[in-house]
Amino acid sequence: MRGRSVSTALLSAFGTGLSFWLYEKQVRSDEILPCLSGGCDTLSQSPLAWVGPVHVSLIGVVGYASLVALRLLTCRYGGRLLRGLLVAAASAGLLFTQYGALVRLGIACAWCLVSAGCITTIWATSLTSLRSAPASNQTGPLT
Amino acid sequence: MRITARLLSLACLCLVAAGCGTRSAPATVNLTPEETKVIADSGAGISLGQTDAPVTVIEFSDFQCPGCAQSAERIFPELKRLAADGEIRYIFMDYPLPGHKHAVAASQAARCAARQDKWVPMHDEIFRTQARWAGAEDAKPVFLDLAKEVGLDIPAFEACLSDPTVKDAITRSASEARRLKVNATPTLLVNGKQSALNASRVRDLVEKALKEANVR
Repeated sequence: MRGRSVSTALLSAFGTGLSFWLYEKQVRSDEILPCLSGGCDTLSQSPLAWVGPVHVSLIGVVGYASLVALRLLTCRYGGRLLRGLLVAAASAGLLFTQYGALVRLGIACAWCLVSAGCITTIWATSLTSLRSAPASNQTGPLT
Repeated sequence: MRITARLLSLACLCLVAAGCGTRSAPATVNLTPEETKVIADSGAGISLGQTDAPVTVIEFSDFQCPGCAQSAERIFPELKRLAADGEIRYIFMDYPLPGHKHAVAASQAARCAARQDKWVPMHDEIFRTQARWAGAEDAKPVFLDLAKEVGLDIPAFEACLSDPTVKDAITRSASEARRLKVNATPTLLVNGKQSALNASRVRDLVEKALKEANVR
């Protein structure tokens, strides 16, 4: 159980860091990003990488940071409700990654694959954690 | 379940490693003055400014690359002005990347505009409207609209689009890029020295080259 909690928290923290780095590099920097082979650079600079006024990397920062927070809350308070919320948030992240990187944009860039791997692992471990949690909504750390 | 989680963790680690490994960096390209002159005089690119200008700026570019569109918006206006003032000779080398399906057609449209002395406005318009045609199934109607907007003779433009020598020139330009091991667009060379992709850095490099040439 502890291993799952640690891996989820670490992967979420890694995802937050990765998304923040991509946001800094691709949105805030005044340096022009060159195109190498039509992968990540094309994707990140295309209009499709924006959801309204928000760049997908910023959505990644917020999403992964929420997962870190939820994981820490689950560790602190336990309970099926928080675990369920964690699974729901991870599922939303999983769907967003799959839809955004592979379906809508049709481009499989390396960083998208890394993010997809992270979120899939987080989703699987959080689901396992939910399934193995006691049925009652007891308080107190479980992991 | 534990095995599944471990397998997934392993898969994730492999993906992280793949992500770190596959993101190759742009190659550093530096040319000697002789090589720069050979490329500039080869006729493989589009040339702006006087042939005897003290500084030569070569840009390898792909019309479908978003970074090249940013370069066209932020860096090209300054280069255009310097070329008009006789301070630089600017060479635009087409380098359509394999993943960009309309890049060659865009280069053809620009080169056909060049035959009617309208390369600059067509270049600007193609980049400005990149989002409009890059995702289109067929980009030709957009290029025809742009040709009308910049005031081209449309029958001559259409005839030019099917001229194989135009495509040959683009292929020659791209071959030159590959020969020089250019692996990214835009790649900007100021008197053969690769510049950072930032308007102020390009300006600094041009200023320095002009001082070295005793122009300033």
